[in-house]
Amino acid sequence: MVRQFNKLLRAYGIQQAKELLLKEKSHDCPDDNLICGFVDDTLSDEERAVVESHIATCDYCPHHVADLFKAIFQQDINSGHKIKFDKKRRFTMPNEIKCSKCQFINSVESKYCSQCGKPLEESPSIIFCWKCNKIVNFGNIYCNHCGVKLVADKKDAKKELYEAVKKWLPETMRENKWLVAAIVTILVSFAFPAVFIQFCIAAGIFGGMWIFDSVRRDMLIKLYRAWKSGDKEKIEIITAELKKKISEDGRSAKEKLDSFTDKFRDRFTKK
Amino acid sequence: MNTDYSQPKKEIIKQEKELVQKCDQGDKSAWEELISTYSIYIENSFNKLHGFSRDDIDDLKQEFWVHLQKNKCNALKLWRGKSTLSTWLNCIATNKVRDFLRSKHAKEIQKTDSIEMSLYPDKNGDSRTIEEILPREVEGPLEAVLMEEVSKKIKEAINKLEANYRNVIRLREFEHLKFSQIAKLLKKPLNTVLVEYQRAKEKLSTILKPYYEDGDDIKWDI
Repeated sequence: MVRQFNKLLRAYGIQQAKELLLKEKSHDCPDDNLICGFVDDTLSDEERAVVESHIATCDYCPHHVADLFKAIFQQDINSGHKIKFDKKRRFTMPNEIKCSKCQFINSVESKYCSQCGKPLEESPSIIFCWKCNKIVNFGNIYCNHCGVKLVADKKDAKKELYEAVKKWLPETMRENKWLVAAIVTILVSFAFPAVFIQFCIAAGIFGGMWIFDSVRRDMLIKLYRAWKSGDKEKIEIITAELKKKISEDGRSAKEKLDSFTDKFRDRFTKK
Repeated sequence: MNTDYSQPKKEIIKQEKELVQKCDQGDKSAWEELISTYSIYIENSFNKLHGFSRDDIDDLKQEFWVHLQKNKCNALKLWRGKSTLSTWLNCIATNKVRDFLRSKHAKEIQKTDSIEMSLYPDKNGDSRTIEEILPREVEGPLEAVLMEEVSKKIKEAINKLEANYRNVIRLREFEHLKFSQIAKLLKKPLNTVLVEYQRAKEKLSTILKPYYEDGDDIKWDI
């Protein structure tokens, strides 16, 4: 029974769609200024109530309001057809789709070209910049407003990664030079199996240097002396300091890593 | 002029009022600004014409900009700052599009390109004709006449409903907006819109009960 009723309503809706084109504005309808404000949500409460009560009685106005709403919030309506983010594309929100075969321009809702029937690829005419979120024409390589590159090749992505690593590497190398030396000696030792043990010992020494080269060495020495003298209070103070130091080191390292990964995450997943 | 739509709307309106004043005085650079910034915002309202050729749409767009400058910028002066300028321009543009669709030239083209095809796409996205959608009884001429009479009854039934139910039913069934969009437009939470839609349907079905029976067939005798 419910199905029958739905059919009846739908059939009526189709007939209504034809008639709506022929309907015209009557004298009672509110000014276009008010209707624009109603869609934009900038009216006062009294004016809003007037428009809302009129829409319930008028035949023409709900159609007008819905048309305007669709035109302004196009991206909401086509939310099922959003572009997925690739590494190549750095923009959002399509508007129209051009057929790649016959160059005919279809609406975003259509999945097949209405002139040649070819399934449409996702390529809009207007796009939104990924960084400043302003409107840019499709086909622009750079954004007009903020100058960011919109279409990235694989080469560009590689270049950016290379530059970021170039900045990040020397700092860490300078901080942990003994660790680097230890790793290098281990790698070299595989080339000379005759003197493998000597190399391993050297790597061990370098590893020890890395541990004791940092600021923690002084702390360890202090802790050893305190332990030898047997002061419990001193030991507690120093261990607390050590814990603080280690946690700070860890935090700073984590922040660095986070900021580094965020840069690249933003590139590809920002709305 | 860069219009950031993340700003509160009242500040944007202030900026836009200055621009419109300059345009009124006949400042050429102001007009250039207006056209370059707002031509992109308007394109959505021409989306309804996606069946037509590109030349027709370009002609309409040009007509739209000429219309703004006619009669000492009358169309621009009518804007009283109740909304942002982009919606006002969109409003004018949708009116233009509707006029175009009404004209005889458009009607001839529409015979081949029916509206209904695009309204109810299949599950696979293919378009369907009216005959596939409608119940079989409407195929004949007699049933078409009956349908017209039933539609009158439906109209009366909808007019009997309360105002908030009527708005939801109309926007959903005849304008094909989503529920989330209706909630945004009418400034109500989504759940109340859903409840109102359901109740409106129940009320309609009780009013219209004499015109259909429970069973496979619709009863068209009145």
